[in-house]
Amino acid sequence: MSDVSQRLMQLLEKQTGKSFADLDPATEFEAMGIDSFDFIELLFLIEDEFGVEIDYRANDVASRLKRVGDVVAIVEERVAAKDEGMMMGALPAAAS
Amino acid sequence: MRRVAVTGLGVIAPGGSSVEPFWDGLVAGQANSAEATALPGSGLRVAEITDNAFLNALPVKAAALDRNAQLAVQAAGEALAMAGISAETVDPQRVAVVIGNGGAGLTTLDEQFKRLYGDQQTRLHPLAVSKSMSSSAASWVSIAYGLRGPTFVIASACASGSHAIGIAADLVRGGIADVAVAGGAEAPLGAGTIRAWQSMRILAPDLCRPFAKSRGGLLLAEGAGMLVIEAEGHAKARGARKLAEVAGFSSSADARDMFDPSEDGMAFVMRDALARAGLSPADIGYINAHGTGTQANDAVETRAVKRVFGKDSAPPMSSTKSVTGHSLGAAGGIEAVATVLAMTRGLLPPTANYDEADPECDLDYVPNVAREARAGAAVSNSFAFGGLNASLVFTA
Repeated sequence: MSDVSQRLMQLLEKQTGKSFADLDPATEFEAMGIDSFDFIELLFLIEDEFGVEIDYRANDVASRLKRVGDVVAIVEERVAAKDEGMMMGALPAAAS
Repeated sequence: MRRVAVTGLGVIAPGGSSVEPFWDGLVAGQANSAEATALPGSGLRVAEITDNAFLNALPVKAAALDRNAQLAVQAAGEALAMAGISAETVDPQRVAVVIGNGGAGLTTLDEQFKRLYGDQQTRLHPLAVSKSMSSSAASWVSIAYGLRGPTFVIASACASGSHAIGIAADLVRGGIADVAVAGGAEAPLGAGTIRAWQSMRILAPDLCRPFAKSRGGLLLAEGAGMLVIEAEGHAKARGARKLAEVAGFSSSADARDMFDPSEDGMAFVMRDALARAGLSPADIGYINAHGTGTQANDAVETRAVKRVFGKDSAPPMSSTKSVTGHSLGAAGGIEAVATVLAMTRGLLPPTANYDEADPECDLDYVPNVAREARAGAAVSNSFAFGGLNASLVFTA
């Protein structure tokens, strides 16, 4: 399990009060009892925890993040982009 | 029980600072959307009122009012003038003021909190309290026009304006007041409020596209819309022109979820409002939809309308939020004005920005082009966060 997915699991457990020891990337948030607004709150916590921004619009079907793996992938990608930006001395991406 | 006539209309909304330009914009389907002035460079789009000349002509000192109350006073003034109601022409003790607000004093709170936390100032403006208290807009309308009847604000989020008109109509129907100025106002376009809405991730990236497959969320807006309503006998006795009648009103709560709209709740208020008006679904010639442009609202509202009116017999339904954006507590007031105008002008305002049909939204939304039609009765819907529903029925 990557560092990102481990920290993500901790956040999920903290927010829901449930234990998700058996989670895998294919697990759907809906199946975990996380509804659309729980999910938006979770994204807020993730953005704070990792210092990244996730461009997600609830009304855009194309941008739906359904599974745990979808979120892990996007967070890993944003964290990598942030680290790279910092190494190059660039400013963090402007707020959208 | 007395019948309740509409005798005055007033509005200030993006693209139209009074009834005529507002109506022209609706009929033309001229959508309002621009980057928020409070957040330059953010790319966040809202619908703002850009013509602020009205502030110089308010009957009270504009600087003493939060923008929310400024908009309320402006729209109320136009409605009262159209109706010919003033403290001199009628007994002001018999005139109620009922204003719907989602939030109140949001602009003032934003400015004052910036001073406190951002600028590290310890002194706040002495009018911070009177500008930001929930009831401020109702007080200012009463002060501006010398109206002394029951005066208060109703808060039911995005249904506030419709609730205000419905409750005011009940006051007139029940003889508590002879006249009321009622509607909604909202000024939510400060940085803090826009950012709070952004965090829900339901704001449209460009335009509000109700019922279209491409709909991407709601467009936050400011504005105010007011009706003057009065007992029919009172209107007749003073020779006032009756524009329409507030024939029915219903409100309910879903008691279920803060965000997820309920088909049952929506269908209930439409059916109940029709029953209270003594009408059947077939009598309705137009529905002004809540139609926010979110995935959830538009699909659920469509299902609720089909349940009440039948898929093939449902009347044309449009969302004027496609032009004005969603001004929250003001929306019910502004849309009541639009609904009455649709009836009196014999023209249904279109759902603008409608580019692609969605199989989930399969009714007649008067796409993009206004349509001539005589609606003898019409419904205006408002469905709020928190599961609060309101439906108004107007008759010609």
